[in-house]
Amino acid sequence: MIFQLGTALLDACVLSILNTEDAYGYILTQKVKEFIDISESTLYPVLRRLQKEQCLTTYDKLFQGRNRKYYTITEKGKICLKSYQREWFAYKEKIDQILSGGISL
Amino acid sequence: MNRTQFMQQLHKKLKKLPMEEYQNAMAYYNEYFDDAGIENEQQVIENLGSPNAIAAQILTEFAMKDLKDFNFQSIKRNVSLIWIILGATLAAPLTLSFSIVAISMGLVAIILLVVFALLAVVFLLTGIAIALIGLMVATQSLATTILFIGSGMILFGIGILLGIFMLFVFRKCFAAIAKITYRKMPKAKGVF
Repeated sequence: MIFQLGTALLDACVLSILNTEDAYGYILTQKVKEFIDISESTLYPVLRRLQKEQCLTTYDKLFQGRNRKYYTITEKGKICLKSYQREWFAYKEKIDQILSGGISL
Repeated sequence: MNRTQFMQQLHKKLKKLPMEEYQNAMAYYNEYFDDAGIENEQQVIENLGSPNAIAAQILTEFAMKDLKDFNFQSIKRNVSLIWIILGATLAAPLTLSFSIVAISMGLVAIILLVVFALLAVVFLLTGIAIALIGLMVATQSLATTILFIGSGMILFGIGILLGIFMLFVFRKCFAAIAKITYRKMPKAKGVF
């Protein structure tokens, strides 16, 4: 993994996954790890921050006699996600242009 | 390191956090271990790395969030304070005539002070000088000596009295100026 996943991108990815389906910490981490190599501890600060910014809320669900905390996206979170998506696609296009080569001065 | 040790270490580092933050973090990682399952426990611990590092990250994130709010607020507050103080000072209703009177009174006080100080010094020195002269003629005329020493002491005494008087006048003068100024500045009273 040459390019670092910054905070903003991490937030965006988490929001995007949660936009499809609610998830708990462990399964969310495993999902992100399928795409990007992150540490098992990476997502806690992200989730905490998004929760504080009210992009996510949590609820508890009982599973095999113990509590599981699920994260779910809020309306504000969805707005944030849309904004992130716009930013990312614009950004990606610019990088693509430069990296495709053939830029004359 | 096993799970218990890991969580114990995490607890040690995080317990200084406010209750909600602490519980949130501990619950997250306890659940994480539960969900990973015992079979994955060792791998998770390896992947998680040092509990100290994780704790440090959580503490930093918490402090940063507080710092962001705090900084902004405290800077805003300080700037407002400066403006308030400036405003109060400038808004003090010093009319031109009043300020002239205040300044001249101050000058008079200073001049008086200087004059009296000089006078006092003159008397003190003269007193000493005369006493000394008196001593010098002691061999010739004792009466003269006693006269001179006596006069010298009188002059010295006057010098001291002048000095005390000068200090007294000076202090009264300044107190008067201060009282007038204070009375004319209701805004200042509000600030204090």
